[in-house]
Amino acid sequence: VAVGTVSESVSVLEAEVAALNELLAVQERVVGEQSAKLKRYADDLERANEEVKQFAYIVSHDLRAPLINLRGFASELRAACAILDSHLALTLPHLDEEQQREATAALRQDIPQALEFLEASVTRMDRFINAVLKLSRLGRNDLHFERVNLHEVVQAVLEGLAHQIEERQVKVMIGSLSEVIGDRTAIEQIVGNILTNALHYLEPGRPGKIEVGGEQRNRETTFFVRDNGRGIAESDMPKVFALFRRAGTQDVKGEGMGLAYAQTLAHRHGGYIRCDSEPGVGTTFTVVLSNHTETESAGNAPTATD
Amino acid sequence: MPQLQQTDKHEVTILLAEDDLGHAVLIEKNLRRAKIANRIITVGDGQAALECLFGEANWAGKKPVGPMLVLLDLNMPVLDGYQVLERMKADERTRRIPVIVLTTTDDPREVDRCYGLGCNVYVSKPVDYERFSEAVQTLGLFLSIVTIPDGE
Repeated sequence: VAVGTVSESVSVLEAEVAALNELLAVQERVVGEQSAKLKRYADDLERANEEVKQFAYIVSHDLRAPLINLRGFASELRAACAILDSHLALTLPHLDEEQQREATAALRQDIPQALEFLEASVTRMDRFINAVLKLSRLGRNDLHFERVNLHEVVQAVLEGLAHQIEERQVKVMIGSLSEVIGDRTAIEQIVGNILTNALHYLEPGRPGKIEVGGEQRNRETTFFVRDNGRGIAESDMPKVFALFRRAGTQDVKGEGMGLAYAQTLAHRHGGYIRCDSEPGVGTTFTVVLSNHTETESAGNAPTATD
Repeated sequence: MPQLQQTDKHEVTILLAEDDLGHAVLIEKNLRRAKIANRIITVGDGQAALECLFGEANWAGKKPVGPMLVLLDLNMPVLDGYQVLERMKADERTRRIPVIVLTTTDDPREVDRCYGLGCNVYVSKPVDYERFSEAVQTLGLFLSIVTIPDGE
């Protein structure tokens, strides 16, 4: 082999190595910039998230204060009207017919009706505020991560629903369920909300079937609740996890918060809940939880002094 | 009418620190319904509450108010209820004055924080007026039988 050819090959190789090095440097710079950008996004998100939590909390508190006045003074008015009412009988004979009619209508119809509307609105507002407050607390509470046996949780929830399951003759099948690392109470609430939902929204007149199962993967644990219920229309999908929104026929009582709570709790576990549905066929809720290690959970433990 | 007892028989004055005038009126109405006849001084923020307690600003040079009991709201302008509690408990002149926190929230963290700072009783104001009225009247009943330690 000629020496010239070797040196030529070497210089070609050298040039290629140099080009590769340059490319690597560029890539490193790009990755560096990207990760700085990602870090900024993460910080922004964290801050926005913190602000939203604070916002919900403050709004809930500050909205409550005026409600106390509305409710309180409506009640004081009611008491004052009762006093006037007790004097009405004595006063009426001194009034002409038209005045009698007006006084009676004002005291016995108009004022009580106005007070009823006032009070009913306060009650509704109070319900909304309490729901938002609860959501904000779920987003702030300390979670205590531990090993949670999903099978046990599902069994316990089903026991609580046994009466309804029996009454509606629903067939419940439980497949394989693994352990997750999570906050026990939160997991129970998530499972409880989804199972209750499945039970409540079965198709009337069709024998109900609910199937629970899951699988453990490398980085995440999933479990699902599949029902053969009435299903959710495509157009109603955005409402499923939204606050105060309820989809489909409104024949079941509820404030429209259950799945919003569940989703909030899943997010706090670094996971999420997915909903797949076909109207008239059924719905599957899938909970995806990332596999925390117990050491990670130590960082989430509440501090003794707060 | 029964009055708050105090060891040396001076009548106890209730200092109500509440920035919502409506709440202040409702609280006073219900205390009166519970037959509490004591003098009630209402102030609208934490700073004004401290001035009254320490005999400063508007209260400077006036006859001291005498033994007191504080009904404290938490969300107040200028200084909030926590700050008032902290200052009271840090000062020899005021640290023995009983403090009852009366506020809109029943958040366990806030309740804990108040007790941690030295409040004696925590009462939440329910939106439900019957319960509100009941809470304040129960408080009135409680006040009519407690003995206020001498602040000096």
